[in-house]
Amino acid sequence: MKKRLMALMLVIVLTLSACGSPGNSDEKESTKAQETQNSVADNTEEKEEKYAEHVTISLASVQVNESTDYNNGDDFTKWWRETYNFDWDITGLSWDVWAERLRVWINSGDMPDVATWDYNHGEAMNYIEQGLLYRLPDDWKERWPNVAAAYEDSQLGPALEEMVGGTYLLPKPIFSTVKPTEKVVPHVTCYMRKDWAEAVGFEIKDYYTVTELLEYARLIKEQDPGNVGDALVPIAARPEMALNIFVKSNSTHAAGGFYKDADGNYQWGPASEDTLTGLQLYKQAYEEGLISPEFYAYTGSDDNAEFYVTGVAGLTMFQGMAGAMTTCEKQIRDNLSLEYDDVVHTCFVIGEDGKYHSPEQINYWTAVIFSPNISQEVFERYMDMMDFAASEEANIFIRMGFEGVDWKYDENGEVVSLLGDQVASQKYPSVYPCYDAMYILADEFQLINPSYRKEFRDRVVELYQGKYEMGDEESIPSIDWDVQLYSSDAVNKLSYDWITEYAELVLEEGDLETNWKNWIGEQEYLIQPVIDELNAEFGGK
Amino acid sequence: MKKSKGLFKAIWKNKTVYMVMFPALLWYLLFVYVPMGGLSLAFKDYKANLGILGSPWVGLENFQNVFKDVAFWESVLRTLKVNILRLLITFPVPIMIALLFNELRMNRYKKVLQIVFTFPHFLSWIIIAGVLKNILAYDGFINNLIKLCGGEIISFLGSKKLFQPMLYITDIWKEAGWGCIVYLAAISGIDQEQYEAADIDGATRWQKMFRITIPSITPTIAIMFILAAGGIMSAGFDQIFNMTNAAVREAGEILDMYIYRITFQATPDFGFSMAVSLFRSVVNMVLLLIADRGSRFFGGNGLFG
Amino acid sequence: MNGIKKKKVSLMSKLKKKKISSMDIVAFLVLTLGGIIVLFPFWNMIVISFTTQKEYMETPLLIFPKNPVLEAYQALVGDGRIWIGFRTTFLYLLLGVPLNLFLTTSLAYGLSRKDYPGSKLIRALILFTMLFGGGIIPLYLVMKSMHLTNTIWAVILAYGVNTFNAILMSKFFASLPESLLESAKLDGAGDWKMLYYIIIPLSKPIFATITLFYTVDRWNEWYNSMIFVRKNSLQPLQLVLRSIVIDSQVQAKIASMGVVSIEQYAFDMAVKMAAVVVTIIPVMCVFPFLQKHFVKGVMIGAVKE
Repeated sequence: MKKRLMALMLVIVLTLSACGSPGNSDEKESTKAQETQNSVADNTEEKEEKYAEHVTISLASVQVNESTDYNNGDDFTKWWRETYNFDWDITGLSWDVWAERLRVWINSGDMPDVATWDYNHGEAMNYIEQGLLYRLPDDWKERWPNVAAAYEDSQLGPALEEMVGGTYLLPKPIFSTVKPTEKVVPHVTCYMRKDWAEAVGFEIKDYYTVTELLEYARLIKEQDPGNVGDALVPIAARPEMALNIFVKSNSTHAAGGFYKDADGNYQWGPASEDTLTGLQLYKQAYEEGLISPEFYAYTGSDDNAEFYVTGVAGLTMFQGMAGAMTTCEKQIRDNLSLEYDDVVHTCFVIGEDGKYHSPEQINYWTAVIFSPNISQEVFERYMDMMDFAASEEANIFIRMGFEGVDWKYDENGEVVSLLGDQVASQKYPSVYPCYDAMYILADEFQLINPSYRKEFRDRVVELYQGKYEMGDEESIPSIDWDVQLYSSDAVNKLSYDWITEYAELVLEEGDLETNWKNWIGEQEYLIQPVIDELNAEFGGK
Repeated sequence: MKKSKGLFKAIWKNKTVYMVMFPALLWYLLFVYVPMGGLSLAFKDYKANLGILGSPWVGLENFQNVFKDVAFWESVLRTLKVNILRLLITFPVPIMIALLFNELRMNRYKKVLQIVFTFPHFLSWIIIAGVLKNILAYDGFINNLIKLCGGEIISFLGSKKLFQPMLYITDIWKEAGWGCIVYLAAISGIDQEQYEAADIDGATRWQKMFRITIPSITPTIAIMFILAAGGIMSAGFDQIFNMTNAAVREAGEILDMYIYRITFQATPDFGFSMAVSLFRSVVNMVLLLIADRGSRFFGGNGLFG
Repeated sequence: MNGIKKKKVSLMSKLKKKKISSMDIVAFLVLTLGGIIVLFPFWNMIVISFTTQKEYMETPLLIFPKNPVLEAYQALVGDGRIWIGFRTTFLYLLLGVPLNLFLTTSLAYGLSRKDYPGSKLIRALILFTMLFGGGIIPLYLVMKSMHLTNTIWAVILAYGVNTFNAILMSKFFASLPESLLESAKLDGAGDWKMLYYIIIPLSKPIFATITLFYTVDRWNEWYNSMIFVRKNSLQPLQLVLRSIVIDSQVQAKIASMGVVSIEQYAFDMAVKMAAVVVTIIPVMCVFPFLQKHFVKGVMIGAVKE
């Protein structure tokens, strides 16, 4: 109860702070977010001088639709272009070829002015060493303070800067003004059939150990409270999610992490006893038929669809943000004619030791990089735009549109959307990919976005905090920057697909423990050199 | 001196041949041979800022790293095994289809069928994998049929033993109809007089097929076989990439899957991947030469007979 | 003389038609069965493109959708990108295929002759390119230095000759009756004349085949465009479809991540299948036109007399 109250208060405080205090009228006047396209004229004079030269900015990013006109397509992009006097030259990178296209361009010395890059440490060091990325001027933090503030939140940026002695990339922070927990933990969440759990007499709680979840699955399988018949899948989980549910919940560093043991020696996560515990539960679930007999053949989000499209699953796991809950609600209503509130319960999984396990997540997703050949005008213009985008006013402007047109403050000073079912990014197709993720990502706004149901937003924060409270320094260890930012031939050679590796171990015939030990042994020639290097560099207490 | 004069004369005499070929040779020079310099990366540590020529030589270091990797050798052996079998099983099918098409007398029906047979060629493996899943899953069509007949459910998608046969079957399904086009073209080039002469001799259609049609297209078959042999090390990536899953991965870890893993999941190392692909090319070349010699040995023409 | 013979042949074939031989039965049965095996999954794909996700997941094998929906096609067409794709691909075909044919023919002519100095060397060098390549980055640097990147010319020129096709064509040239070429030579025909007035008119089947191959390759092309062209307005059909399909797949997966708003969510399997249908329809329209060249009995026999 106390927790719930705290979460509630937090959300209220956050909502107020992010929206700016509406009572304070002179501040309100000056924020750029409130300029509708009609009132851009207010400060055009000053801007015109600063941005007298018209520039073209080439940008490569994901989420581009090749047929959208990003220059004149809608009022939103028009506002930006008129304010900053530029044209876009946008290249769309579809998800699967994103890395490859950028890699060829960067390595050929021919990248666009600005790109959204899926950061990879080994590659980053390589590019920085060769001068393939633009080095930001040393005084950039004074010149663009909003970007600088958010940059600090990205954690990765400052750490990398300290290491290489300069700023070469700007990681995009997930949470900046709003942070649900001190250390960021994963938001993936279990969605459980509440009505089924009640029917079989299974206790509803915020968290379960894997053993408890298996118990739930067994009850469902025996009693089939939903009368699903043969098609029933007690726990629908593709290998990726099975890894989360069974293994990562028990073993903090299961996904190939290197960590220091009590003696200050480095160890490899997959070889820890916790990993074996998780794998055994995983195998048990498979052998008892508590997960799909062909769970490895799921593609895309087939497993989640069994929960909210066909309704044959008792539990599934996917993203734990308000947007996801809204998707789930809509899907369940459309496909199963059920109400989310009656049938869905969200929860998270803890280890057999009663603790929540996950290394602290670095608070960023992808990074902004600039071409080493970028012109000063273009660079400065783009930084100015980013600086505005990283301001508090812009946050609401980018996510919700123009005040008075797309949203307004109600009598209580709360933001109310005027778009009905739509969100701003649908009304203005240019919001993706140019502005929405220009610097601070959209995720944090989901915690406070009034377009989503308040119950969902509150629940997200509750789950975040619940996870965090269930862990300690050992089960939610802080980022070990020594390891994160370590790069060497041995380390760069490691390339594991954890999802498949663990699923293979579970599916392999014979004794799991023996197979696991053999597998660890087979990896030794790759892993031991890395451990030796780490111990030599950073070992000891 | 005399010899070189003779050579010059011979060149001058054939100058128009060179002129005919010139555009194609120029294209090869500019867009194939100049970039071929990239092969040197197998012996270099590629630094984009220094360019391909300026990057430092590292000798055989890249190859040493490649050959040290256990996973590399495993994938090489598996590639040979999977793709040699693939060649032997799938290669004859388009020839048989082409021969049968040649014998089919209903002209309209033949034309329609020919188009139908080429359809699957236009599907990408990602699509085929999706459909296969729909048909072969434990609750899919075929297993429901088996259940109806009272049989045991077969895990088509999760069986290591069935994975390779499935590769061959789907390969035939997708490519055989398309592959027969080359043979149909060869058959249509056969001199009709031979058939007429055979008709007069009263030969049956089976006899004509074995005595005239097949021998006439043997050169084409030989080239196709030699070229396919030269692709053994690089065949099947797209197919396996889309059809594999955790349960059968081991059965399909061919060299190109290994290269993919190296280039896309770890920090990319151009020297390393170029060394692997150079190795692959050399093996392909050896296989191609063996097939070429083999074809000559059996009286064929070889690639450039 | 000619006319009499033709009459005789047609009379004989009429006679034959009355008798149904074992060959007819075998050819009919095998090919019909093959056609069914090919069409069956195909029908499945078309049906999926009209189904809702719920029905798709609940029905083991769809024969006909209960409530056909057009959502997938609406998503595909309403997206707008597909028109950009058709336009670009059409340009590739219009400019690219003639270039392919021109270059391939000139090379094939050279390869088909062995009587000039350097023919062996040229053959070896051409063959080498089938096996070895320098990778994408050197080619990119070449294109960049020629200022071709970000234009469709980079894509058109990057794929000039397919060595495989050139070898096939040269083999066909080489199989043309020697006597014919000799007599033309005696008449004083040079290499150009020989190629354009004698060889090409005699090689219709192989030209039809190679044209088909190049057309399909250009139709399916996406990798070079992906690397060399950045302009959104110059993306070819396959790349556009790819990004629609991949986007819908990724969106389905991350619809909930907050990066993507929920209404953009589409049933990715149906979108994929709709994309297949849309890509295949134009091919189905073009194929019959090329097909008439595959028919048996080209003029070779007649010319010889």
